[in-house]
Amino acid sequence: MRLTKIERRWLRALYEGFAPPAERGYTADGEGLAPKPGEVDHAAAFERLNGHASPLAQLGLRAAVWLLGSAPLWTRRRLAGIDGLPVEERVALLEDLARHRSALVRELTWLMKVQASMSLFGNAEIRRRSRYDEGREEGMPVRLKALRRGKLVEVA
Amino acid sequence: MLAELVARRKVWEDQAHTVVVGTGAGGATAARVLAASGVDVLMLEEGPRLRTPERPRDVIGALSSTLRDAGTQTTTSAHPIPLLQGVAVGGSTAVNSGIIWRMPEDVREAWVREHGLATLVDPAEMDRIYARIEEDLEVEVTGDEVLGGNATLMRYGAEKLGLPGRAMSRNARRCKGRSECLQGCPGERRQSMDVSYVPAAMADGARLRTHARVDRVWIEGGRAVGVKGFVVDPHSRRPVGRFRVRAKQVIVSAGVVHTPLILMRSGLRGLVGRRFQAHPGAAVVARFPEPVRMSFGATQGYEVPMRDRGFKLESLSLPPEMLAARLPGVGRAWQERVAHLDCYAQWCAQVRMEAKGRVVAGPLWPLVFYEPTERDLDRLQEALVLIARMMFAAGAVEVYLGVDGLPEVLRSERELDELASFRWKRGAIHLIASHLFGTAVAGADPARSVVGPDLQSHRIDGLYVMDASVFPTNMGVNPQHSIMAVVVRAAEQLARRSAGRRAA
Ligand SMILES: Cc1cc2nc3c(=O)[nH]c(=O)nc-3n(C[C@H](O)[C@H](O)[C@H](O)COP(=O)(O)OP(=O)(O)OC[C@H]3O[C@@H](n4cnc5c(N)ncnc54)[C@H](O)[C@@H]3O)c2cc1C
Ligand code: SF4
Repeated sequence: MRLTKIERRWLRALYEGFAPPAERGYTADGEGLAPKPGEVDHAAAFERLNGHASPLAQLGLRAAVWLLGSAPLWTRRRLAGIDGLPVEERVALLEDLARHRSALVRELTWLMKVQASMSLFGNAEIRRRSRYDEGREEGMPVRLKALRRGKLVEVA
Repeated sequence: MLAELVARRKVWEDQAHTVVVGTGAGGATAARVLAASGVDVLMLEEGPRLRTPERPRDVIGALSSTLRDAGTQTTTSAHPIPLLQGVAVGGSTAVNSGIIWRMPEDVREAWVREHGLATLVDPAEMDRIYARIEEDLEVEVTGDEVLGGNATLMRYGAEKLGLPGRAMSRNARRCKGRSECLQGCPGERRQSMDVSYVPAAMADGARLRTHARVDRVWIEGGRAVGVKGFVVDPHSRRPVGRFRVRAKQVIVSAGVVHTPLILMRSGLRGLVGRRFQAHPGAAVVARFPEPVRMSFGATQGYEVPMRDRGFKLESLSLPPEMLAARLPGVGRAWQERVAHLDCYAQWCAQVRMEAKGRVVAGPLWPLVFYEPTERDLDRLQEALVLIARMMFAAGAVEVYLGVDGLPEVLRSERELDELASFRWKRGAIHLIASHLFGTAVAGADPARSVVGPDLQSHRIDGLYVMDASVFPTNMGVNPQHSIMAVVVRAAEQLARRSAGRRAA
């Protein structure tokens, strides 16, 4: 499944809406989970996964890129694709789409968020920065604390 | 294009006493039993043989290299349910969590009473077979030292609510808690078929051909005499050649969706494709104030079986790509949650649904018609609410039900009570199914089944079905062990008959 030029632009803009890159003024909490500019090849990740998807899923994903990519037009009456919006507006737009009255729009927005997540964490450097794998090296015993009546207590 | 057409005309031919289609729980077990008793076996597998070090560790790589349609195969319904099935040597066992359950006695009794399967599931024989499989596959209860934070918190929540939980039995005695069962166990500790019964069968002389997609059973004079199919390209999975194998008997073990399709293309009709059943499920995520460290511990380690309520709850750790996708929010709100990726737990529910569906060939691709009933969805809702209660009991600060149309974040049990008081909309819960059953069911009565108690087709001599397709009902527990046990039972009988014929 090869994306066209415009689809690639929209895809990048969409993913940057879900996880704005560090340079756009968003602080990279957790040591930079926000991707650095150009760090992730979103189109390659999308094509890699969806090249093996069922024909119906490929159709659905392409529809999602078009629906969300052209959302400024049909939600904001703005003659622009999602790549034409500044990143803060993209975030607001995606928030609206995630709560849209149409279940189909909500589903496709969720689908693209899943894709964005796979693309981000498929990148070894971002995965390292997330520190997800560090717990594995530490092994058991895991000290578990939980909130009980407003106080942290050890549960295991 | 031209090269493809030319290649399509290339044919390889082979022969064997018994050809086995598919190398998952059913196929690998059949091959293992027959090869051990001296039968000349050829295994044909559509997917690749991936050695563990070659298996991609990232989710995109894992899904696209080992799952049918990279995990995007779904039911054909208003609210499609993804159906997960492995396509690689080892089949779905190559990606599963290795949870081991013997068939519950009430299910066994129903099979005897309602389907005439007394010989197939004879209790003494089944006990012997289960014990042997458990020894071969190194089955053991998950130890505290590899439970990890996700499962340990679930145990704590279950104890708080007085629920009947326990550490899972799994086929991974030396599990190091790497939490990567989906991507293939790094140290080959989990005894999936690709590292256990397939190599064991090969050591006994069985042969294996990969990238061989069987299209149909070759039938002559009402008898199976082999199979015909396509060689598929390892990357594109498109046909690039043809093959033909002559055999005295054919065992189809291509899984619940593809076994009936092969049978239909071979001219079998009637109940083929019908009585599709499943244990669809969904999961709830919660945030805890201190690190849970999902990356350490058995992928699945703790369970709360509630068979009387029709569901089973399980801890299920996720790789970061999938966990992050489950966290609410967009932009900075999402990134803030993602920044604390080590503070989450995820527990899931699998429901023994009463709904029955159907697999049909479809004009362009296979279609699986399946729609949960109202009662099924009520059970699922009850299960998810119970998980959320366990999470609050274990000290969660935020619970994410992941149900469309409901608040994304719950911070107290009072908020949960409100949501539990009405029926959630159909389609609002993101279901997923990995335990599939039926479509070529076994039974004594040819009018109500596709294969007999020996798993041989009622209509075609020498054609056997040995996988989850023969299950006349679902079970409410994880199926791999029961599939293997039923197949061992039928394959042992077949091996004895084959030996008798060879001697004669
Ligand atoms: C993610 C996941 C987790 C699971 N976790 C557990 C668990 O922890 N415990 C448990 O008990 N069960 C679990 N299951 C379910 C269990 O793995 C399956 O029920 C079981 O493997 C089904 O066995 P099978 O032989 O019917 O099919 P499969 O194991 O799916 O094998 C079918 C094989 O046939 C091959 N095939 C298909 N079509 C063709 C064709 N035309 N030609 C050639 N080959 C073909 C496939 O590539 C595959 O290798 C899980 C399943 C999944 C997907
Ligand atoms: S949890 Fe890890 S070590 Fe244990 S069986 Fe699964 S992949 Fe292997």
